[in-house]
Amino acid sequence: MEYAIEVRNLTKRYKGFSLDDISFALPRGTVMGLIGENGAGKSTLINSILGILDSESDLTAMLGLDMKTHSKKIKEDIAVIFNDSHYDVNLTPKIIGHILSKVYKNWDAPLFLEYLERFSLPEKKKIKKLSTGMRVKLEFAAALSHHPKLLILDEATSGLDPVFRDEILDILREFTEDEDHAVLMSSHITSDLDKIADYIAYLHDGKMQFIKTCDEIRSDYGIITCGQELFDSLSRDDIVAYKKEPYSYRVLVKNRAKLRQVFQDIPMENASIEDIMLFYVKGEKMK
Amino acid sequence: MKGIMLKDLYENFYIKKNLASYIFGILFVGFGIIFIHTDFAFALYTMFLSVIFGSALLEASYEQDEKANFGKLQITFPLTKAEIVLSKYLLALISTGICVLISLVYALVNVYLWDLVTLTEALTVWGLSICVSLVFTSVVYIFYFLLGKKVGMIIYVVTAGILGGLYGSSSMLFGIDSYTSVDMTVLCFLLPASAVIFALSCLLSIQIYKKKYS
Repeated sequence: MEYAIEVRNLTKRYKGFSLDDISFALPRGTVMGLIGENGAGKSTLINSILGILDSESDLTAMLGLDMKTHSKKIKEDIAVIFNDSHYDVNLTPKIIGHILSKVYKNWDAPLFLEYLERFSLPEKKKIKKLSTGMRVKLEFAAALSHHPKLLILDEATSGLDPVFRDEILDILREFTEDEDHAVLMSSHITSDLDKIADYIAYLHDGKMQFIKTCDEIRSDYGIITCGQELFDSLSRDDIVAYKKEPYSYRVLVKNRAKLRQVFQDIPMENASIEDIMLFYVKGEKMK
Repeated sequence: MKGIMLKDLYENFYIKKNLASYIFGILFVGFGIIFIHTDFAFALYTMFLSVIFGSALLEASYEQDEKANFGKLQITFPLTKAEIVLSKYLLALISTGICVLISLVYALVNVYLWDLVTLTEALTVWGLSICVSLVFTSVVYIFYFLLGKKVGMIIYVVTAGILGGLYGSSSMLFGIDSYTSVDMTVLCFLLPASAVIFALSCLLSIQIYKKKYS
């Protein structure tokens, strides 16, 4: 299978933090949500994959090519949107289009104009006069107009209101209608990932905790609210983490189906991506 | 590389405050050129034109890039880190080239219109201006890549000030002849030497840039 991204044993060390032996693969035609708390290593991972940061790895490949040897070719076919790196706000969308037409071989000027029109972005208005949402839309228009096969978003939708975010999700859905396309997006807004992601990769403290499909997450994880007696009777292997509350325990469990067979009557809530992240970070682990 | 160079040009000449700085500079030098006809002014303006304007392009684009943190986005473009730095140096070379041509015209005007210096003297000063502007750009660009816009700007101003001071004091002490009568053999050595310094500066800036994003 040819992956949009394939990473094997990627490590990046800083003083006091290291991204530790990360491996994952993103199949074409899918969306992977990269989650984790602030400082978990999401941006470091994305920057390392893109070669913005130097890192050690056995393999970092995109669209079937090794980044070490084919980075220029790969970059012709990918697009990246960051939340902390942008075009000069004194320029206009038209100028951005002109610049990018000299950057990408397969720049599609009519497509860019089509996106500007579709997003109601005035061609000749300076970026600084556009709203935050409009600026993000401009970045999407710029990113999509050279027909990329892989879109990488690093917190690109943070700071946007739900209406704008929903429009961005529509753009992403449209982009992934093509089976050859893929998206890797890091986001704090896990509800967006619930709507669009096929895979969730969870980074915590520089380590990859899990990579699962959203279906697996829905079917595997559950939250049980119980007393001491039931808590004690749960298998330690099934408990991911728990929170002690005044008169009860809230427990994030895995192997949901198996537990359901044993404890048929206990109420078990669905665990959202946010729940899972919060339990991993704030919950207590079984010793 | 064309895209990065085009972006830098837009940032220099499309953004009003940057364009205004150039217009102010051109007017300032222009008035001097038109109204002051001395051999001291001739040598000063011939060098000033290529030194100051030739290397000014990076200042504005670096400032804009730092504000938007564009450097990160730039690395996702289909370019190597070396090509990004090279594009800045190429643009400096092109702008220095244009300024050097303008200063050649100014030098020839001094020879044939104002009858202030001989052709040999004019070409000697003009040749020196090429060397000084290449070395000036080489020094200033390293500091921009190493320490960013703020310190780079300070180095730019301080180095320009030192050059001005050196020119002023040396022409007072030794006379303007010390420039107009430089031996052609020395000039033939200085020209390739300054080109080598420019190339070394580019290589060093590439290493600094790679280290910055590592």
